[in-house]
Amino acid sequence: MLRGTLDLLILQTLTLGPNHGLGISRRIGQITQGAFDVRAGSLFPALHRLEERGWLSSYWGDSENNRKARYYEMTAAGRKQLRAETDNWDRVALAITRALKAT
Amino acid sequence: MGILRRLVCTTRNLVRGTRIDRDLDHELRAYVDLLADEKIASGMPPPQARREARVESGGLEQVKEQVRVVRSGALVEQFVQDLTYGLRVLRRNPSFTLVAVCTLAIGLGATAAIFSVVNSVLLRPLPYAAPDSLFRVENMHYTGEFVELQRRGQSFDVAAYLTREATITGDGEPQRVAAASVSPNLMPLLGVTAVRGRALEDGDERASNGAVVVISHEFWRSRFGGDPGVLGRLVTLDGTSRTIVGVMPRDFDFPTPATQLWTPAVVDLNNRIALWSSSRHIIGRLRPGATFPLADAEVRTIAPLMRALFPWGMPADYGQNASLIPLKHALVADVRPLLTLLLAAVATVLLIACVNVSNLLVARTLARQRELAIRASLGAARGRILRQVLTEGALLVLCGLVLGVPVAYGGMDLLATSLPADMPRSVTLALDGRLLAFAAAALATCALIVGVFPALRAAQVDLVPRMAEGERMGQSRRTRWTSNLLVGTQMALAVMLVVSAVLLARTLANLHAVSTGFAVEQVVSARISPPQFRFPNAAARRDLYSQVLERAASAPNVVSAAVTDRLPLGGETYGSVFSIEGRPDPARTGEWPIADVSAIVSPAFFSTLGMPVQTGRTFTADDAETSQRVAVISESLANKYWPGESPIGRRFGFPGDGNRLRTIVGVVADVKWERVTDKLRTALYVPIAQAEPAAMRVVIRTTAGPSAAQEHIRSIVRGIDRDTPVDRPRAMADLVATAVEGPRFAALLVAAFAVAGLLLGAIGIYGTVSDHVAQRRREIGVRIALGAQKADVFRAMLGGTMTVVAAGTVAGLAGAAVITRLFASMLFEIAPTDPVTFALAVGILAATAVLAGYLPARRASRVDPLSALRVG
Repeated sequence: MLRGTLDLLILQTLTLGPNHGLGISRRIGQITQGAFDVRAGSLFPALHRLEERGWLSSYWGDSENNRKARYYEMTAAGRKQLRAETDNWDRVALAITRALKAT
Repeated sequence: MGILRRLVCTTRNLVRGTRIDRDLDHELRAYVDLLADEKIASGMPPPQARREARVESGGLEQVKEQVRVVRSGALVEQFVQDLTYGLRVLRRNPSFTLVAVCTLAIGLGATAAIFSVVNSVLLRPLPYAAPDSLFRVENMHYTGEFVELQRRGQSFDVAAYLTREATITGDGEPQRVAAASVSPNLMPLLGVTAVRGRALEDGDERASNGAVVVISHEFWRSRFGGDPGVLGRLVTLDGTSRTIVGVMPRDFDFPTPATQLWTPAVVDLNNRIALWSSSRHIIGRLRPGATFPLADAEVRTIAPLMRALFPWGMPADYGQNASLIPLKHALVADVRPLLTLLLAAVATVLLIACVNVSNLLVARTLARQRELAIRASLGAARGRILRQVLTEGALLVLCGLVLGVPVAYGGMDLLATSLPADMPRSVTLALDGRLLAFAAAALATCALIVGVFPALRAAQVDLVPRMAEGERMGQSRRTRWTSNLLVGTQMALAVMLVVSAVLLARTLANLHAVSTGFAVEQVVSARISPPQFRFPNAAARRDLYSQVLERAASAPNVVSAAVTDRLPLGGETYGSVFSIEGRPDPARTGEWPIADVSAIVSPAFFSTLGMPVQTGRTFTADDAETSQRVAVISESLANKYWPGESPIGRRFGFPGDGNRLRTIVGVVADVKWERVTDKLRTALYVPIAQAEPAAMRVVIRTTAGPSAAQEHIRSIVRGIDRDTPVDRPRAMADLVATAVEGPRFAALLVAAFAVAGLLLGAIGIYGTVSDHVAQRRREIGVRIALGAQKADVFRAMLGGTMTVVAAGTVAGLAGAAVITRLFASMLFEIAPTDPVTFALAVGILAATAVLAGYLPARRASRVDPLSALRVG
């Protein structure tokens, strides 16, 4: 996975509303149609990093089957970051696609 | 992320670390539970679901560790963890920690102490304005030469000084103090100013301005109690009343740290004899824009021209050797080899100490392989383990430093009292940039040496085999290589120390074995300096001395008594040129015969000092002022100027002594004049009755103890004249001891360092062999079970280490052959590569190494095969 891609995917996932670790992992699987299988070992460090940067906030809540779980939620700074990252991603993707087609 | 936010996160993580960790733990557990729920929902049996969930999440501890690493302040947190963990490990092995820390503390402390001496004497810039443009003129020392250099110099200015002792009379007991007679421009030339009043300045030498004196800070405090009104007060110096015009700063120690008074030197340009025979040291400063080579060339040009100005002929090569050397270099040249040697020796001990601790740590790392392997499998990155081991090393060095500070201060105190008295500059413990930089460099080097080898070892830990196997049969080849390298290095360094120490010890023994040529036991002396204002002429002074001798000789314990103006080893060797009757006139040829020492003595001088008469006679009471003028010469002088013939009855004359010739009546054995290491010096003696004595030394041979004898001399002189000071009390035995003071100091210190180095080396060998034995217990057990003899086991355990010791020793001998040359000037009658010394050093090393290796190796040979095999 490209560097920074995971952050982008997590932020994108959370635009649909707060979710816990496993939920985020599953939703990334769904929206990328199984292309990315995010394991705990990379997911949690990323979540904590994003939280420390102020793009996510977290709270303890009850899951669908009544288990205590830690939920992550996008902050205003996170939304801004996502827009910036998305624009950036589009530019890079476009540039790379062009470059690959040109040769 | 903003700095502020990062700071907040760091602080929160550090302060609330445990709570955050607990949170993380809950979060991850919830994750696993949810995952298991998911699997159960899809129809998996609950136990299997839970197990698979666990496997899928990849180990909760590792995930936690990965989360911790990305958090802000992770580095700090890890460092604190490493530190606390390190402390715990060190506390768990108190004996190891104690040995390591003490070793490092002593090494660091001693090194810092020696370095601060080196720093204050050799490195500290001279505390004068633009010290780099100051120089001393070498091989020019006559007052006339100074006057000429001052008059002609274009690229430089010169000043002159002479150290002397001055007598203070007036209130209380006469006091002798170290003084300097300096040209009035000396202080301005150095660029120093007084802290009170003024320094000496041009014009001070003119008597019409009144005689003046500048005093040292120390003298101001001790004699005047720091009285602020000291300026303008009068002191009587050598019978002359002088006005105090200034107090110099505390750190002004030119020309020696002991100097208390500075008086302006008066140069009488009309007295050509005095001008061209009295001597002083000449220093100078480059004028702006001038360079050393330029000034040096100028001095070399001017010098030979002065030959024509002498009232008598000088040798044809006069002035060829005149040159300039930087002032600081000139001042410290005598002690540089000693101090450099000491610093090198103490640094070597420190290096051995570090290598030793490093080796012990390597062994410990080996013993901790399982622990390290477990940590690695629990998610610690390799870098993390490396950092942990390095931290432990640094922690040891740090503890060593903390304990080393008092050691350094104690060492400084010890050095201050035991340093040879003739240090050219004051020794101060200045916490300056150089000392701090040195300390930092030393610490960094130590931490690196101590930490890097164990860290390299730790980095090689293989996870799986370690844990699976538990204990392997032997050490890896690589480990043994590291440990061998360290032991070998220690040995090589220790050999260099031992060789140096043995060379110095044998130098000391040689010095003690040297014959001074005169009797030492029961002989004491003191100087009597009759002040000019009480004894204005030679007759009056002669009268004083004969009264002193008369009274001294009548005392019950005194065997004999004499006076002389030159005392062997008393640091008063002044020579004289002369002309021999019937040979070409030296005034014409320019080739003057010269005696290295020319002394005025009373008749009993030779018998009091026990100097045997070779031929002829010595002086008697009949050699009076008006009888035939006579002289006694030393054997070496006789051999030099009357080779193969008897000098008895020959006549010679001193320049400036009219045409009155002296007849040689006797030849006496040679004595050592300046130092016991001196080569023989030619000497010429004249009787006091036929000379003009100034200050003289009373020499008595007595059965009373030295202090009683001194008091006796003092009371005799006081009974004759209260204003005549008696000073420089010396027992001749002490003079001889003083002459070997420097070599003794060097020998003692280097020997102490060598012993320390050897002990550390022994600990290193002991540790290595012990380890070796512990690691190979099972192998030894198998060998013994298969029928190996004790001797075989012994050899197997010791053999490898001894090979390393031998290799280290050879390397050390090669190193020693190089470094001992660097202090060859400090050795006496022994070559820097003396084969006996080298053999002795090898013997000492071998004995130490075998002893250190023997104990653990013996343990190996007693391994019980059954118990050894069962342990695994």
